Amino acid sequence: MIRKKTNVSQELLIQNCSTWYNFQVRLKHIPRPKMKVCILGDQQHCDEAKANNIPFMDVEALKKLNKNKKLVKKLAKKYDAFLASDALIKQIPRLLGPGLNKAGKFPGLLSHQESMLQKIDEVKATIKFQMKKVLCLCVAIGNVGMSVDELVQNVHLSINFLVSLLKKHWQNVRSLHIKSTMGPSQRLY
Amino acid sequence: MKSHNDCMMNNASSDDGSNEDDEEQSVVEENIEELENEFSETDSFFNKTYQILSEEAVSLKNIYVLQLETHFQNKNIKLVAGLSNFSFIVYNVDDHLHANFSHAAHDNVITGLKFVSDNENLFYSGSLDGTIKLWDMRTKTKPSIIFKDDTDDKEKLKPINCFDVSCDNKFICAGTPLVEADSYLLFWDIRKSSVLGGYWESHTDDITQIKFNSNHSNSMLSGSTDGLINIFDVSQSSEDDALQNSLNVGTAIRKLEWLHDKNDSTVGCITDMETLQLWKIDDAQPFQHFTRENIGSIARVKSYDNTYIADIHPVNENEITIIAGSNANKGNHLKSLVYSDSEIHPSANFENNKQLIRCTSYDKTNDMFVTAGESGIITVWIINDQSNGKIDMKERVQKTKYRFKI
Repeated sequence: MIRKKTNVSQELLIQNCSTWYNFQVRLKHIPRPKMKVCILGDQQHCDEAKANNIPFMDVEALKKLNKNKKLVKKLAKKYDAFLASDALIKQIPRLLGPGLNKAGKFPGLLSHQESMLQKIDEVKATIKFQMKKVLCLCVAIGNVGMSVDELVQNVHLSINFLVSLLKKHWQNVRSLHIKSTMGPSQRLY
Repeated sequence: MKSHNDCMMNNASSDDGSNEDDEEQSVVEENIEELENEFSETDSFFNKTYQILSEEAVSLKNIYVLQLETHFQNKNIKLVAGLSNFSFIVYNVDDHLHANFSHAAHDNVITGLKFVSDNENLFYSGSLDGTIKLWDMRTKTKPSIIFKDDTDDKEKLKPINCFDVSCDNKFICAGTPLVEADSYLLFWDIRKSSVLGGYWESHTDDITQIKFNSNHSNSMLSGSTDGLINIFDVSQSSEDDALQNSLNVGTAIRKLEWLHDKNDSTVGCITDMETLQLWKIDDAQPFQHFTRENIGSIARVKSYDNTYIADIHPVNENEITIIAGSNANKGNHLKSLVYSDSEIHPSANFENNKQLIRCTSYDKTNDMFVTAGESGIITVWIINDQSNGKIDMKERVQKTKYRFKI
C-alpha cells in the first residue's frame, strides 16, 4: 500500500476555534480493490447480485437477525461496506437497530437506475479525510499494483480537493509526503 | 455582466482540476488576484440590500465569536455571544448594541448557547469542559444549575459538543465528541443536574448537531461527523426502539435545521464540504442537493474554491434563506440566497461586511439579521428600504434571465 501524508500547518487561532475538516473524495482509480461490499437488496437487486457473484442479503435474512446485537455486529465485521435498495434502507434501523451505525457502516443507497457494479466501484474508490486536532493527515490513495500515472492522478485529485477546502489553500500546507507502507517517505511539497 | 461570465468560466475550468500540473502552484497567485477582484462584481443580481444598524467588536484582542443566540422581541433584541476565550458576552439591542455584561463562564470552548423559550432572562451554555450551565441575567455571574455527566469518571467529564432543549422545556439533550470509541447522546431533566441516561450506539464519530422539533417534543435529530442524521423518538424506553430512521448524508455534518413544512418532516443539512442537502425524514436520499459550485455561482463568488455556507434559516413553508459568502478578501463578500420551488435565487447583499461569518440569526417579523464571526464583530443588519424601490424594470428582466436552474 502506498500512503500519502500531508502535514498541514495552521495558525494557533484556528486550532483554538476548532476548524476541522472532514470530507470524502472519489478517486479515479480504486485504491483498495480487496474491499468487500455486501448488498442488502430487494428481490431485483438480490437476483442481480447473485448473477454477478456479489454477497447479498434480503429482508428475510435481515429479519432473522432480530435486532440481536451480536449477530448484527458479526455481520458488520464481515464486510467493509454495505449498499441497500431504496425500500430497504428505510427499514434498516427498525430491522437491525443501531448496530450498523455503531460500526460506521450504515449502507449507501443503491437505486434501480444505477448499475450495481459501477456503484460498488464508486464505494471502493471513495476515501475519507479526517482532520481533527492533529494537524497531520494520512490516507491510503493507492497500491503498489497501480501504474505511476494512476497514482499521480489519485494524488492530484485528492490533494487538490483538500487544498480547495483549506481557507488559505496552499498556505495552510506545510508539507506533503508520499510513502509505501514499509518504505521510506518522499517529500513532494 | 462580464464579471458574471468570468465567474462561470472560472468554475468550469476548475472542475476538471485533476491533471493540470501548474494548477497547484497557481492557486496561491489566483488567490491574491481574487483579493483584488472579488468585490468589484456587479451587485445588480441582488435586489435587496441589508445595511448595518449597529456594529460592535467584542474585544480589542483577536477573538472569534463562535456562538450566537438571540431573543427577538419587537425591536428589542437580547443577544448572547460565545467567544473563543471561553467566555460569553451579553448585549441588549435597541438602536445600538449595548454590552450588558461578560463572564468567563467555562474552562473550555463554548459549543452552544440557548435561551429558555418562555423566559428571556435565562439561558443555557454548553462547553467542551463537560458542563451545561443555566444562567440568569439578573444574578449574572453565578450559574443557577450545572448539568454534567460524572457517572463514569468523577474527574473527567464528557465534553459537550452540542446541545438542545426540547420544545416543552422538559429535557436537555447533549452530544459529545468521540470519548474512548463511543460518542454519547446524554439526557437531563431540566430540574436536576444529574444525568438521566444516554444513547451511545447510533453514531461512530463526534456528534455535531442536536435539534429538537419545535412542535413535537419527542422528535429529535442528531447529526454527526460520521455522515449520518439519526431521527429519534425520545419517548421510547430503549435506544433500539427510539431510533426511527437514519439518513446517510455521506459527509460530515456541520449544521442541521428543521424546516417549517406542514408535517414537520423536512430537514436541511450543511456539510463540512460546504454542500447543502434537503431531506424528508423518511426518504432514502435527499430530495435536493446543492454542491459548492451551485451555491458559489448563485452567490456570485468568483471561484467556487472560496465559497462557504454560513447558515440557513427557514422562513416559511416554501422558503429557506441561505447565507453564503466567500472566504477570500477577509470574507467581506456575503450574500443571502432564497430557496423556493426547488430553485435557489439570489436575494440580498450584505453591504460592508467585514469578516468571515460563523453564526447568524434571523428575525422574520422585522427582517433583521444578526451576524458574528472570525474578526469578533457582532453586526445587526436591517433591510434597506430605499434599495427596494430603486430597481427599474430593465434590471429586473436581466435578473430573471440569469436565474439558475438546478
